[in-house]
Amino acid sequence: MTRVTLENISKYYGNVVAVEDVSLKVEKGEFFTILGPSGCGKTTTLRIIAGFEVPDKGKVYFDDEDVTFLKPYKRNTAMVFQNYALWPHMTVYENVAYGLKIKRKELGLTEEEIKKRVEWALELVKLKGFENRYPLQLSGGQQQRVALARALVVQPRVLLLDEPLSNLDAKLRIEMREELKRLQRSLGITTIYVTHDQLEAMSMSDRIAVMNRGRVVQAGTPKELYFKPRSIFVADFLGRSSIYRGLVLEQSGYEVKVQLEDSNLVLKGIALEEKLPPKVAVVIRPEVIKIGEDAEPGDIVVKGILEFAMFTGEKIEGRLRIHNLKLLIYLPGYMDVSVGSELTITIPWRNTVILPIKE
Amino acid sequence: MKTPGFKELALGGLVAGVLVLIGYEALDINEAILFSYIVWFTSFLYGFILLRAGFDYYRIKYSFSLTFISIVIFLYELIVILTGGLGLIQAIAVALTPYLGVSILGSLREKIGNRRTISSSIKTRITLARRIRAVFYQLDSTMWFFMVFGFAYLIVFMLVPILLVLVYSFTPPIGGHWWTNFYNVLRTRQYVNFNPIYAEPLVKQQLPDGSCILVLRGVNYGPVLNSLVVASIVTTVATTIGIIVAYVLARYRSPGHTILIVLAMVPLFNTPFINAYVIKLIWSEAGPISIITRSLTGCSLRIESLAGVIIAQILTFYPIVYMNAYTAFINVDPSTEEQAENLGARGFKVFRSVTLPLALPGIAAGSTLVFVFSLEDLGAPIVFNERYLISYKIYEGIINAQGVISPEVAALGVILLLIALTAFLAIRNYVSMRSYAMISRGGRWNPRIRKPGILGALAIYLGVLPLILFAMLPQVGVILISLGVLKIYPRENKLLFEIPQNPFTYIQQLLSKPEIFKYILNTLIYAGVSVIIAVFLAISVGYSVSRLKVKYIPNILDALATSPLAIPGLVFALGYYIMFTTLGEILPPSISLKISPASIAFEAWVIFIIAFSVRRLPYVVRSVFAGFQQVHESLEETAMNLGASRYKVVFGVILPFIIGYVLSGAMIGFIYMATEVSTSITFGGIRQDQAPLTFYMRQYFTGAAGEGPYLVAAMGTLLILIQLTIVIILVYVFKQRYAFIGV
Repeated sequence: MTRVTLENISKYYGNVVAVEDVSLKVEKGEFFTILGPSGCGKTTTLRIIAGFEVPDKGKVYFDDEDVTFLKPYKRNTAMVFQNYALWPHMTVYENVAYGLKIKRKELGLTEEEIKKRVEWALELVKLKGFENRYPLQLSGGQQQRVALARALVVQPRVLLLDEPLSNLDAKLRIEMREELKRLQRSLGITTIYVTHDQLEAMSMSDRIAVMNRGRVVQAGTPKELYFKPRSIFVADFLGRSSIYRGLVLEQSGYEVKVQLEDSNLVLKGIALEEKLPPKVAVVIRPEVIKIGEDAEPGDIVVKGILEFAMFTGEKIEGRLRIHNLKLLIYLPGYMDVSVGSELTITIPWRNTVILPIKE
Repeated sequence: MKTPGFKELALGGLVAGVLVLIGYEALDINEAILFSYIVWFTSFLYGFILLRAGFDYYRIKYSFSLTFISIVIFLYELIVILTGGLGLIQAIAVALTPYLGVSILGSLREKIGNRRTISSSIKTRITLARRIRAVFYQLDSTMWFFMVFGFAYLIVFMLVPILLVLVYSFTPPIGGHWWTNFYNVLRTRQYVNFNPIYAEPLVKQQLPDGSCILVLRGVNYGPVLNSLVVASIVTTVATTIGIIVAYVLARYRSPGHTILIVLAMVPLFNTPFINAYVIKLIWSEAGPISIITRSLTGCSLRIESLAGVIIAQILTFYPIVYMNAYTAFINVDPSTEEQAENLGARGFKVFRSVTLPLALPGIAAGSTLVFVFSLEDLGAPIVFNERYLISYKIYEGIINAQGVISPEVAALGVILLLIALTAFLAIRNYVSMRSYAMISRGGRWNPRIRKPGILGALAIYLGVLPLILFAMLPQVGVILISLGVLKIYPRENKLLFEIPQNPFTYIQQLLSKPEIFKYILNTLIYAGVSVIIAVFLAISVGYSVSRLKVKYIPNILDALATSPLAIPGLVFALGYYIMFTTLGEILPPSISLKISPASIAFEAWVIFIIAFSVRRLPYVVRSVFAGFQQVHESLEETAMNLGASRYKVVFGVILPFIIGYVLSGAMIGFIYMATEVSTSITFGGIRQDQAPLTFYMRQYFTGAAGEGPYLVAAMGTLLILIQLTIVIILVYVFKQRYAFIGV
């Protein structure tokens, strides 16, 4: 097991900033996810860890060893690519055994031992009996497992996964999510996972780093990120929310009263820092809003007109107009509502987050 | 004020052009020349002023056809400046200058602008040491080997010889200046003659037996202009024919379609000399063309000198355009044409406004090759005995050299190189800039193929089909002659079909007579060894270019490996001659006797192998490079990630995967090496016992003994057989449909 540390990593392509001043610490055996929209620099960061790119600034450490300029084939990381990168001219067995055969002398392995370990890896990913097939004979999900087995069989210091589930269909993706998590737990291998899918990230990771425009905007446990976002970007990117601009009326400790812009509404909420600038943003997640009147001191109760409703099965996603504000709400799926009707809701202040607006 | 547009551009050019013409009428000659140069310069400045006043340069940059026009204008003006053309020729150049000025200055302005924004921002933030370390990070021992090998071979055997020609061309003759050679080559009547020697392109001769003959010759403007005129006409006509054939075959599906597609490629079978010789026979008083002209005018027809070269080259080279245009038409996104029809455009209008502009880059690529091939061609000039061409002059210069080449010949070589390379680079830039036109943006890809209507059918069966069949005649003729079915009677000026006793007499002779078989064996050995070298080079170059993420170096290497396409073979011949003569002077006699072309013990095979491997490298590189591009980089990175070093990755994982591309490249390279002419016949003459096949073909096609043409035709047939086998393997085993030739 290995600890991975990135220290002030920057990478530029010509005039384009790919990664800017990224510092991360991934603990031993941790499932760590880098999450962000496409083009945010997450894949580049992963490739820097694997050694396919050298950073223009900063350093990479595996435990206490500086590996910034170590060649990729000497790092003993194992990467699973988005397109699996299986060699189409080799069988499943040859694909999986490749890494062991390369390091055979170094590890002092016999042909028999290699066979045993390949079998072990294929069993791990439930692909026993597929040894002699070619990749093109396999389904997407199976190809993905072969790629995983090929990575795991060399017992790498770090497992690197680059959007490995994005080419699978929805059902299979959920299955593989569990599978991956299970494998990682049982092997206890340090894993760095890159994805743009927040659900994937939240459900699998011990910790997540959210990246945007080459920078890490926030790192923490999934819960921290979801309920205590430190920026509008994180609040907006993780889950769904209504975000309003406003001015601070008063702040005592972490409790803040905010006058919303373009509205006479005053909301109370929680700040994550003690000294907010006058201009702030108010973040309200739809799932915290209570339907009907159910207030404790500090919550506010308002009426609004249901402007739009969309039935998704488990729930109804609705948009409520309160004066000139639009608020995203969730209603239970069984509820009978019609567009244009009036609804009363309660916004709980303990779950309302107030963020500073940085100009 | 309104920003200036094309109207102002055209008006200014017109005024300048007319001014120049008036100057030549009103002033005496020296003043008029001075005046015209002043006007010329002013009209370039005028372009600059228009640009400053807000002329929209991007209108030209992002247009397919307008960019193409500026390239053509650029070449035209370059040639007019070099040769010092006056009068109307110059006036046209002057009139076009504002357009050129806008294009050149506009692109310069843009480049400088880009440079500034880049250098100002990020670069400065990374330390130099770090940048250097990042470069070296990618260079493991395998990469080093690839790069050093690639660069070393190409620099030593391509760049150095050419630089030697360049340096040598500035050697002043006795009593001359450093520029005297160029002055002689570009400004004396011996080379550039705007007042032709024989001005009548078509002469009618009365023969003693009462019949008459029309002799088509062309006009001799001196070698430099002749080469340009020939290359321009050949390119234009070949392009026109190529486009028509390609369009018809790409868009109409009629009975026998596949056969037509294949037949149209037959002229690509390369049979040096004998091919042009058969064309000469076809267009002589003994040939089928004369039968037609006799029934029409009562006179036979014969083509000679320049006209002969032009016709021979058109017939030989048009399939190059055809192949490129065919691919380009197939690759035009059908939805763009459908959209045009959807909006009401029909037939020719769709072709002119949508299809042609989108296919233009591909077509231009083919045309450029034809231009370069025509410039460097030696086969047709030798067969038609046309000595007033740059290529022939250089050839003469080398074979008459006896150890010392005239610097004037080197200057001719430099001019040839300059024109070919400029055209090639300009078009390459143009094509690469527009390659996005070939990229599909999703959706269904159904090439638009339809059944022809009555007019279409007429066009196919009365136009395209006869044309294709006619263009095949040389190859068919070569085979018939080699089998003894077609007999040539030069004295009586007759061609007769006969039933031979043994059709394989001549082919058997090739293999049984050791003095002839020697040449075949030489060719096979040289081409075989060169192909192995070229494949290693191609892997080195192709891999470094496709994988190295460093600025400039991959681009330079790529340019070096591609440029042999644009470097005329005779320039290579000159370069090697000068290089090995120079080496012979420096090295001790034990070695110098072997490598100096002037010595009796000269080992010509060294030069053949070097020349073949460098000259035909682009064909091999292109195929291998395409292979590397097929392999997604992640396939390689996975292997490295699992601990395989670069060497193991390239030779263990990637090469087995792209072996088809490597073999295809090797076989295409082999074909072109086996049919190489320029260096073969120049150095073959020095050491005849080591000469390759093509040298023999050049020596004996006229055939003093009477058997010459038949034996040469038999060699041609042998070459056709080799090429046919390779093409069949490429198509059926490696599934390479259009791998044969192109940019």
